[in-house]
Amino acid sequence: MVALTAGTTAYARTLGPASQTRPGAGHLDGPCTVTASIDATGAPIDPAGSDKLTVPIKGSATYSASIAGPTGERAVGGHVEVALPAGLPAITIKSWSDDKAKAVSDSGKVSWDLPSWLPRGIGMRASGVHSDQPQGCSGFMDLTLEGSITDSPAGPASLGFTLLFALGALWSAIPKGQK
Amino acid sequence: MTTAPQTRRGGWPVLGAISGFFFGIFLAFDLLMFGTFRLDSIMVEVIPILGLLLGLAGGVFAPLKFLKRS
Repeated sequence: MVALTAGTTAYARTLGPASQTRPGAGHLDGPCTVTASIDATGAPIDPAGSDKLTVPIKGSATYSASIAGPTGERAVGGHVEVALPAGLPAITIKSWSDDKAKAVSDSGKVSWDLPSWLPRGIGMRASGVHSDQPQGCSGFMDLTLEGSITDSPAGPASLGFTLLFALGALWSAIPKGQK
Repeated sequence: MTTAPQTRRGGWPVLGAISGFFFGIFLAFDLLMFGTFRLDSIMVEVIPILGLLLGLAGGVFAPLKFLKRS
């Protein structure tokens, strides 16, 4: 957690607000190499690139990651997570730790199955950090949930409730009549 | 001897606060769907609070006098 916080702050100083607001922006810091792709579409997941990444509501991704520099047995750890609004714990996609690790690379597959009622088109930031000796690495990538507003009942429902409560707020601003 | 009828010029502060708060929540939701900002943006929490304050202010001061109920 401390490493993630420090890394995120470093990215803010390095890249400035523009990269954090630009959809599809990513960043990778440290001696790591990450290659991944969405299995269904083959769309590459490249934290160091700037292409937009659209993530399906349900799917899997194959990844391969390596780090240059570490040798021998050492303690490693890390995680990949999706940030939520302040005050809410982030959603952990994958985490790892090993007190006596010897490998400098890893590969595998990550799958997810999000609820179908989730509204589509939402932008998220997935960030990851790997703690290693002598140096770890970290990065982030902005994602967008695939689909349009009408692909989920939550979309039209939200628009309807927005209008409903707007009318309620306007009605409450009308002066009461004479008694 | 007659007295002037009392007139309450305010609106509905509690209703305004509640409506404004939920309006802000769903408005933030809508803006998320349109990709205006990310899920981890502080605006997700700021907009509902602004809605609550605006709704409360509207209920207290009742600025929509041109729609005054008879």
